[in-house]
Amino acid sequence: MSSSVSASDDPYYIPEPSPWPIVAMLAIFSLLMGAAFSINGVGFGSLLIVVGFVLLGYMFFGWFGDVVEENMSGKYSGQVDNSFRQGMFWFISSELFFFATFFGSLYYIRNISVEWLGGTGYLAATHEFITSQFVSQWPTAGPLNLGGSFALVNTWGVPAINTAILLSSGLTLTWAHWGLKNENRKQLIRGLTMTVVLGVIFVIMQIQEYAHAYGALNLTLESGVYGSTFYLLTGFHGFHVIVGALMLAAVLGRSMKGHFTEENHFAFEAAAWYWHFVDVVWLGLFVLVYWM
Amino acid sequence: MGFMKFPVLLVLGLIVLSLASGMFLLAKDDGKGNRLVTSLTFRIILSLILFAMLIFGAIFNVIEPNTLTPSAVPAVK
Repeated sequence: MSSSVSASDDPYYIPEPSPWPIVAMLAIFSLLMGAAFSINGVGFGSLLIVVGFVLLGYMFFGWFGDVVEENMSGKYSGQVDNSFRQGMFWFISSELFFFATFFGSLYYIRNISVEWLGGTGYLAATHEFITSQFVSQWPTAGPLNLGGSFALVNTWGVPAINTAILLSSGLTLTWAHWGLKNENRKQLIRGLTMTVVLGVIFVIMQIQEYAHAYGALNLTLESGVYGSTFYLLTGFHGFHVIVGALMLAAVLGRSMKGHFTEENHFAFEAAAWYWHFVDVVWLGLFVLVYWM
Repeated sequence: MGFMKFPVLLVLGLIVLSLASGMFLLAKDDGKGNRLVTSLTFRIILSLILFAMLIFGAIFNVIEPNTLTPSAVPAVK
């Protein structure tokens, strides 16, 4: 390579040595040790978990701060932008497979294994010998009713309201996106603010709904296979809403500082796509878990 | 949900397709042009159509949520 090429023209940007990977390692170490200690009833375990989360937050803040700093000082070439996009693409792919697995398990349980217990399909003998009084239907409390009887969350209650909230947040985000593309910063900031607020409302509603389901409806993680798939699917979705809202809040802060231009706004597009993804997962849940 | 299951699942499939095309455009278009924001706009419009289908389907009794009482049998002693 010619020596006349300056650093910013170099397609490969090599960052300075960074302390953040070590901080990340310490954070994960504290979290895992804390979890292991608290599961075994050791007193300071929960304290270690708190320390782990604080370190994790510090690491995210610092590391992303450095990356933003590098970007804003013009150190990044098109090649770096492209590698961020490739990284996001594969991260998104892993998220797709993550939720595809859970939806797949829901399908398998509902349409295949519960049918066996009810006496159809190639393992129907299970029904004859072990679960002969069991009638297969969905939802089911399971052949032994281990978690006790439970009632379902009313589809027209919080789930429908939360669907409306998430769809509205998708609209406000799309409005913000067009604002960014048309160089209308006010529209970008207003749209993002509304999206984050709607996301927070969604999470609060979901927490209340869980409390109601656990208490009044007796729908718990132990309510047979229905309860466990219900909480795994909706719980991981809720966790993703929190992550998405944090990402959008960071993007909102950066928008207020004027970091994004019509051409340089990868962070916005990555967070926006992620939010649309979380929104679509919820629609899948609304149709496949609450409706069908 | 009956036969209305199929149009609902079809629209859900179209939503996933528009989201997936957004995923490729996020990686391919390098922030230039409006193809990503257009695909995400399609995504949200289709989602609103799906939600409206469910609401109107329920109002006109064409589709109803699954409200079966969870089945169980007494524990075998």
